[in-house]
Amino acid sequence: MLEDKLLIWKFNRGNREALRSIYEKYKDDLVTLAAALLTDVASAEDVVHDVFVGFIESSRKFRLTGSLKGYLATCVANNARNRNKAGRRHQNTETGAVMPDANRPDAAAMFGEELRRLSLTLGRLPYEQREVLLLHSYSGMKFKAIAKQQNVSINTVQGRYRYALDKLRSMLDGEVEK
Amino acid sequence: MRPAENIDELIKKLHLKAGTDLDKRVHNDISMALTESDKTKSAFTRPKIGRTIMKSPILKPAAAAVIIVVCYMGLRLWNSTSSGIALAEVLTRIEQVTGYTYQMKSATTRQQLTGTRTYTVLVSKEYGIKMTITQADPNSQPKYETGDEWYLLPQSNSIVIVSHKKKTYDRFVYDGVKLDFYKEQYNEPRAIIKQILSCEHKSLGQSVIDGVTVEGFQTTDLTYGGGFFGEGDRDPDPKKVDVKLWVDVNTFLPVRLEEDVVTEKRGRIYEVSYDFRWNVIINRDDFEPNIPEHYRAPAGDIIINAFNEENAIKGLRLFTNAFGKYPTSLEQKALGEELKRLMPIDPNSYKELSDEERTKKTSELLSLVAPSLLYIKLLEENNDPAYYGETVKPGDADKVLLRWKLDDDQYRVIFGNLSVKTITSEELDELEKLSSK
Repeated sequence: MLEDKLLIWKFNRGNREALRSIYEKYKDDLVTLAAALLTDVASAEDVVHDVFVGFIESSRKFRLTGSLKGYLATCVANNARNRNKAGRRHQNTETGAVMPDANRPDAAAMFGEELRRLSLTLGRLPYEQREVLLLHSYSGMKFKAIAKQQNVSINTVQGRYRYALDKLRSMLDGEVEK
Repeated sequence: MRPAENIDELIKKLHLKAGTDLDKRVHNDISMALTESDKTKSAFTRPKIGRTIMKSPILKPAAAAVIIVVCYMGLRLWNSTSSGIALAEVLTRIEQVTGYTYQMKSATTRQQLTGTRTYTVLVSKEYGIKMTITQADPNSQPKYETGDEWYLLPQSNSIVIVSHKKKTYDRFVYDGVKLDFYKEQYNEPRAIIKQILSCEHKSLGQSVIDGVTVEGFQTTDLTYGGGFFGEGDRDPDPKKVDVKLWVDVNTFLPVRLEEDVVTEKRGRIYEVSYDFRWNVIINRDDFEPNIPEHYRAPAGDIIINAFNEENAIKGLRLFTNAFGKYPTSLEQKALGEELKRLMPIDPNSYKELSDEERTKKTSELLSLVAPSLLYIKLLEENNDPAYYGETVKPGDADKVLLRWKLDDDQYRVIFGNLSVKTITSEELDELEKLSSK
């Protein structure tokens, strides 16, 4: 947290290395989040790129009020949702898999069978539920912050989270009713 | 069925690496954006943050409010002016450093303390502070010699001063008094930054010192009371205070600290701390005072008792036993003069005493001034103390000898017979009428 505050302080003063440090620190988490939301790695990288372009432009006026990780995750989620709504994402309708194909052998190798199944099942969740689940479980955001970001009540967010969890659990256990 | 925790754990294990193409795109954008930003900046002079704040009609009260909040609520606020944020962060950053060293140069022009000195200061979070005088003006008063060492040792709650040239040492052992407040007198940067934060201060914008880009902070607040071994804040009405701290914008650690205080009666004190080296390796032995066996302590170990009610009563009792009266005044200077008159000390008489006897004699002397130390502490803490030693005699059970405020309606009172009681302010009014007769 302190390290992030220092990075932001330098970032506000136009320190190039601070900006690079922020990117290097969070890029993998953000790409993973965007990929899990959009079920597509190429779009995920576009999202992260867009987020950092916006972040660079905010350089001198940016003020951090919460966690930097939470802020960037929210930006990624917003951008991904817009893409999702606009139908610009590349939907992998066949598999719904989040994780990459043969173009990304490094990433594929990282995921065992269980995670591969998880990525497949995540892609089958309704988008809103997937977003809540990932922002909470993967990015560590509080329900209250997610509710604010999605402009819905905290009960709705908690409901989406529970539904997502139940469905995911059922699907992973092979008990899913289609 | 998998429990929810398992799903959460599984989700946390998801991990993708950003591709090299994305890396290239983002880094290029960063470079381009900053190049543009540099071009824009070069066309205009960048305004200094402090000036911007004070020129804006909207920000003026905001800055003033922040200053009030910082002073009132404490020192560790993150959300203040741009300078406040950074300075608080500097403090936090220094707190993480386990050991550092720096040079300090001081020049004083005043009645009892003149000359220039240079010190090497070694600070350890764990073991304390060590200062070595590396250069001393031979005409300085009091006469410090090159090589003299000063140790501030929180673990033993003591201060040790060793003079290798004179082959003497003084050891002050603080019983029940925490030594933390002495750090600011040793110009320890953490304590100085707390002082600056508690005062009205501003940013000086960026500059370069020895090739390092720094941001400056300044206070000219006359309530500033740090540094100078306690000398700087003795005069209650300084004519000028100018303290500047320069901080490395990359490491967030101080690069240079300048303190300049001019007082009406006591002249000018100027100190500059520089050549900071952070996170140096600390050796415990560095904080073991180097005192060869043949060195002598002219006053033995000097034990400073806690400035509390119990020790004040002991001191008052000792005083009445020795002189049959109470001290006329508890003002430090007046009490010192009274003691000199009542009990002239021949320094030569100490020479023949053993170390133990010297320590005992010095402790007795310090016990006599314990009531004065409590009185000064109560004054500093605004506890409304009052002392009636001039009119109250030993044994006066109904007369107030010393009193101070506990809260809005309660006072603590030491009576003429040295009994103690907590009373209301109405009761005190009645009693004080008696005491002043």
